[in-house]
Amino acid sequence: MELHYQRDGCCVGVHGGPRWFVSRQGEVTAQDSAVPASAEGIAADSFRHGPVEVLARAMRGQFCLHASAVLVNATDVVAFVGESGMGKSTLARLIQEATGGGWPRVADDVLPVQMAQGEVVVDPSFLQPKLQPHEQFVRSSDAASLALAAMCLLEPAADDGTVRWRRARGVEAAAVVAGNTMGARLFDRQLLEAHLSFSTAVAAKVQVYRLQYPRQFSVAPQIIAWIAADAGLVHASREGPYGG
Amino acid sequence: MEGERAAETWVRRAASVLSREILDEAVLLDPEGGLYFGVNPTGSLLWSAMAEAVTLSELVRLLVTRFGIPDEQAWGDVRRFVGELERHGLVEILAP
Repeated sequence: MELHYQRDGCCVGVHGGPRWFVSRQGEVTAQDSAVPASAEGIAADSFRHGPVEVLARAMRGQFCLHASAVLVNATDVVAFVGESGMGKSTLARLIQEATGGGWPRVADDVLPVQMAQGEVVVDPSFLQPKLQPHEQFVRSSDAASLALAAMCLLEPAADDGTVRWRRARGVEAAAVVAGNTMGARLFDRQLLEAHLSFSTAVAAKVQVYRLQYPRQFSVAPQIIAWIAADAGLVHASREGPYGG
Repeated sequence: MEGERAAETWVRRAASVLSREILDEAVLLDPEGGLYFGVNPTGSLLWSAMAEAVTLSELVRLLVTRFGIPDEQAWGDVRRFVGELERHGLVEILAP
C-alpha cells in the first residue's frame, strides 16, 4: 500500500495500482483512470470501499470499529469486538436468529461510529462485506439516529463453558475502543490525535464489557437476557421476543 | 534510569506523545510506534505535572503531599514510573 500525507489530505493506493486522494474533509477523488486490479491482485473496487472509505470517514471524524453489531430496540446498538476468530459474526448471527429477527444485525465487520453533540452515534451505512445483499441493514431516511449503547470485547470462555462478563472502565475501556478501530495504521498524527479523543470519549460514554462466551447457540438466550436486563445495558423493545 | 538519576534531574513529556485523561487515569499514545499506554491515577498525576519540565524531587513531593506516603515509597514510585516512560521514549530526561 502507498500512503503519502500532504497538508490538505492524503494520497493512498495500491503499489502499482489505482490511487485516490482523500481530503481532510473526507472527500475522495480518483487519481488515475480505473484500473481493474493491482499487481497483488487486489480489486480496485474493494480497496476503494475498504481502506480508502475507512480513511475518508476518519477524516470526517467517523471511525470504523471492527465489529459485528445488533440493534436491540429502535435506536440502541450493541457491538461485539475482539480478535479474529473470537466469534463476533457468530454471536451477532446467533442473537438475530434467537430473537427471530427482533434484534437484527446492523453490521458484520465494519461499524462506523462518531461523537455527535456528546452522543455516540452509529452510522450503519457501510456496505458489510460479509453479508449478502439481502442481509444488508437498510434504515429509512427519516429514522432516528442510532446510538452505540454498549461494546462487548469477546474473549475465550473458560473450560467450564460458562458465560461471564465484567465491566471495563477508564483506560481499559478506552483501549478496547482504540484497539478495535480499523485503519489506525493509516492515520497521521492529526488523525491519531482525533482518534485518541474519540476513543476516550466513547469509553466514557458507552458501557464497555469483557465477555467470555463459548461459541454455542445454547448460550444466546443467556446473553440476550443479559443485554436486555441483567447488565442494564438497554431496555428491550416491548415488541421483541425477550422484551417487556 | 532507576537509582542513578539525581533528585534534581529534569524530566518532561516527549513532544511527540499524545495523551488524554479518562476518569482519573490517562491514555498515552506514541504516534511513532503506534502504541497506546494506560496510566493509573498516580501515574496520571505525575504525567500531568510533566507537561512542563519538572525535577524528580518535585514529583516526589507531589506524591508525598497528595497521598501522604513516606519519601522512600514516593521515590520508588517516581523512579519506576519515569523509568518506564523513558524506556518507551515517552519522556525527555534533561541533565540536572
